[in-house]
Amino acid sequence: MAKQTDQSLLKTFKSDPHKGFDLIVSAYQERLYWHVRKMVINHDDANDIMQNVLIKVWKGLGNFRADSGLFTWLYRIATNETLTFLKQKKNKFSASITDLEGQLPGGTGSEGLITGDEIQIKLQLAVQTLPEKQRLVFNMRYFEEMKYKKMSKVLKTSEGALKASYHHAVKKIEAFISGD
Amino acid sequence: MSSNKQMNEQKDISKEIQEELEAISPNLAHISKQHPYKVPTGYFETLRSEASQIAKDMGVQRASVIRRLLTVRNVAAAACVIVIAMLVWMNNFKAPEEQLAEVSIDEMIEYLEEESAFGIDEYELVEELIDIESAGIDEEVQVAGPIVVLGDEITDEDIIEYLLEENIDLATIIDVLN
Repeated sequence: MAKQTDQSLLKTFKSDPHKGFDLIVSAYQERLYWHVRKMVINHDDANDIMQNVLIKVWKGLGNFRADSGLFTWLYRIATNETLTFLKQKKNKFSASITDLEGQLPGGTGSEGLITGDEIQIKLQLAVQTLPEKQRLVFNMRYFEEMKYKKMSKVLKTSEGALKASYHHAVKKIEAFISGD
Repeated sequence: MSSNKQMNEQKDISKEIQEELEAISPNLAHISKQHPYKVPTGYFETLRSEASQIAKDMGVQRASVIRRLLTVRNVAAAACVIVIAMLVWMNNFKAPEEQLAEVSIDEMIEYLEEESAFGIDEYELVEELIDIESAGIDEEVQVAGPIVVLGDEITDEDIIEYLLEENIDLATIIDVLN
C-alpha cells in the first residue's frame, strides 16, 4: 500500500473518522511504540502508555489543528504520556532497569522481550542513566534519526539547547560504556 | 512528497547524524544502532484492532466538546475557576479580589505551558490562551464568531469537572504561583 501523506490521512479522518483513525494508527503506531518503549524499557508499560496515547489521539483528532503537523502532535502526546508515566512510577521504572541488567552476562534474564549482544544492552543501560529529557533527546536523535528542527517542535525546546543536550548525552554514554 | 525524495532526505539525515556522532564520539559511532527490545508476535496487529475498538467504544468525538470549553468566554471562565479554586484551597484571610489581582494571565499561561511539556494534557488550552493573548480578546471574538452552545449552557461545575478530569493539579498551580 502506498504511504499516505498526513494531509490525506486527515482528509480521510474528516470524511470517515473510524477509517481515518485506523489509517493514522497503522501509519504511526510502530514509531510511537518504539519511541515509548525505549524510554520505559518494559513492554507492558509501553503497551499501557500506548493505550492512553490512542485514547487521547482519538479524543483529540476532531479538534486537531493541522498547523502543528500530525507527526509532531502525535509525538508530543506520546512523549507527554511517557513522561507522566515515568514521573508517577519511579519504582516500577527501577524494576525495568533490573530487567535490562538481567540480560547482561551473569544476569538473570527474565521476560524474553529483551535480547541482543552485550554492547547493545550496555548501551541501553547507559541511556537509562541519563536524565529523562536528555534520554528523550538522545533516543530521538540517535535511534529515530530525527532532525533538531522536528525535535524542537515536539519537545518545545530550542535547537541550540537540543544540540547541547545531545552532545552531553553522547559524552556520558561514551564514558559509561568505556567504564570511566 | 514522493517516496524517492523522502528516501533521499532520510539518507541525508542519517549521514548528517553519523558524521555528527563521529565528531563527538568515534567509539559510539561504531556501535550498531540495533536496540535489544522485542515485541510479542502479532503485537502491532493487536494494537491496531484495539485502537479500532477504542474508537468504537468511545464513539465519534464531537469536535466541539473541548472546543466549546475553549471559546473566549469559557477560557476566561476556566481561568477564573482555577483562581477561585486556588483561593478556596489557600483558605487565607485576604479578600478574593485582592488575590485575584495578584495572579496575572501571563503567570497562568507560563505555568500551563511549562506543565504541558511534562505531562498535563493541556495543549489546546495553552494554545487558545496564547492565541487570545496575542490577538487581543476583541479580535478573537470577531474571528471566533458566535459562541457555540450545544443544547445546554456550560456551568462552573462543568468547567471544574473538566479541569479535574484532565488532571490539572490545583495544588501545584498554587505552589508555582506562590
